[in-house]
Amino acid sequence: MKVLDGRVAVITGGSRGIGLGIARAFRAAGAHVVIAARKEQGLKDARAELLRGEGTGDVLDVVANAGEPDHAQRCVADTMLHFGRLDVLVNNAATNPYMGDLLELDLPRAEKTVRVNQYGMIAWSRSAWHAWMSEHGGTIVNIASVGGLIVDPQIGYYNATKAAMLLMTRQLAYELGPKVRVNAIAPGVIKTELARAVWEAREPVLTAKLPLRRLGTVEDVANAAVFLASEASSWMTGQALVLDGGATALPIAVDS
Amino acid sequence: MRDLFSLEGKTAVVTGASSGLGARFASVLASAGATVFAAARRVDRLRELGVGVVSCDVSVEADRVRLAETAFAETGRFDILVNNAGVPGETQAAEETADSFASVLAVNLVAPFHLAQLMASRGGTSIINVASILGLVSAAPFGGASYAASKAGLIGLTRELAGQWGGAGVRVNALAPGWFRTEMTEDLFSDERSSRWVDRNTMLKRGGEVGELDGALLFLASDASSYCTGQVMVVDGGWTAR
Repeated sequence: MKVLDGRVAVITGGSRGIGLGIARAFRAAGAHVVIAARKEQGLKDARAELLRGEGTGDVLDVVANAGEPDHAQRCVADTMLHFGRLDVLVNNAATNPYMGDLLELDLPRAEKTVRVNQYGMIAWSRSAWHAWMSEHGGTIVNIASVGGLIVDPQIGYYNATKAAMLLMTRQLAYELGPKVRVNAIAPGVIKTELARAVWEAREPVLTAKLPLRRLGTVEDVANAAVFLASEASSWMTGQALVLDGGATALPIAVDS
Repeated sequence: MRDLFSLEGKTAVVTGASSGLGARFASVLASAGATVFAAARRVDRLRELGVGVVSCDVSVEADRVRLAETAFAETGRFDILVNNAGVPGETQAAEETADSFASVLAVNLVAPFHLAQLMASRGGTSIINVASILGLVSAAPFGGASYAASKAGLIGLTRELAGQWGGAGVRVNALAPGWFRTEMTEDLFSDERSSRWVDRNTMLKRGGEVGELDGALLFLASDASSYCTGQVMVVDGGWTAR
C-alpha cells in the first residue's frame, strides 16, 4: 500500500518545475492528480509525461490561472465531477513580475503579485474546503520560499508575498483545523528550468556557501510534499518545512 | 515513498530508548531496515524491542564513547544518531538549584553534543536531536527552566552543527514534539482539566498519538530529507503555530 493510494490531489502550477515534480511524486505514491496551469499545450505535454511515469493514477489537466478565483472554483468542480473527491491541495503557482527595490514598485505589478501568490492561496483553499475538505478532511501544502524568511537585494516584494503565505499557513491551520491540516514548504534555490537564470551561471558560488554544498532539486521538494500530504505527518499543522541545504541556518542570506 | 524512507544497510543509535518515545523510535528505525543500537540506563526494559541493546548513562562520558564504539565495531558504520535521552528537571524555576539545572543540561545538551561528535567522526550522515516545543515557547506552569533552556540550546546546537558539518555530508535536524503521552507528560494527561487545556489550544484539538512521530523521524533519518539540514521539525498538532 502506498502512502497516497486512492487520494486525489490538485496542484496549481502543475505543468512544470516544482509543481510537475510534485505531481510525479504524488502519482508514484498512489494518487490521482489534477494539474492546473495557464497554458494548454504545457498541460498536455505535462500530462503525457506524467502518464509515462511511475504510478497508475489518472491525470486530469485543467487550464486555470491561479490568480482567478473563478478558475479555482471551476477546476475544483471539474475535479469533483471527475474523481468525486479532493484530498490534497498544493498551492504551488506563483508569479514574480518585478525585480528591484520596494520603493520603486508600481501598483499594478504589486497587485498582480498579491493576486496570484497570496489571494490565490485563499481562493483555491476556499474552493477545496467547500467542495470536499470541510466535510471529509484533507491536507493543504503551500509552496512558499526561504525568501519569505530573509532579505534579498532583488526580489523583496515577491518574498513579502511568500512571507504572507507562511503566516497564512498558520492562520489557515487554525481556521481549518482539526479537519484539515495546512503546512508549507519553504525551498531554497531549486534547479528548475524556470529559475535557470538565477542559478546556472552562479552555481559554484551559490553552492560553496551552502552547508550541503549543492542546490536543491525538484525531487527534494516533491519528497517533502508527499510527506506533508500523507498520514505520515498526521499531527503536523501550521508548520513550514525549510529545504535549503542549510542556507538559512547560516547568517549569509543577503549576498548579491 | 517506502524506498525513499528505507534505512536498509544503515546503522542507527537511539538514546533514551527505554522511554515511550525512544522505544518507538528504535523499533521504527529497525522496521525501516536499520541495524539499531538502543541505549538506556534501564536495559531490562529494552529486551523486548528486538534490537541491539547497550547499557548507557548518557551523562557519563565513558558510556557515550563505549556506545559509539560498540555500534561502529559491530557494524563498521554509524549513520544515524537519534539524541532522544532527556530528563525533565524541576517544574518551578524558583525551586531549582544551580546544580540540578546543570545536571539537566549535562543529559539534555552536553551528551547530545558529544555523541554527535563521536558519530560525525565515524562517517555519520543524519543526526536527529529530539528537542521539544518547550525549546520554542513557554508552557508555564508546565515545563521547567532547565528543561526549556536545554531544549532551546539543542535547537541552537542543531543549527550550528548543520552549518559546520554540512560540507562533510552530515545533516543535523531537530524534532520538536508537542504534547505526546509519555512518562514525562503522564500527570498532565491524567488530569482532566490539563488534558482539556491541551485539546483546546491545539489546532487539531487533541494530543499526539503514539506513531505520529514515525513519519517525521523516518523523513529526517532517510534520504527523503537529503536537502534538509539545520531545521526544526515541529510535530505538535499546531500548538506553536498559534
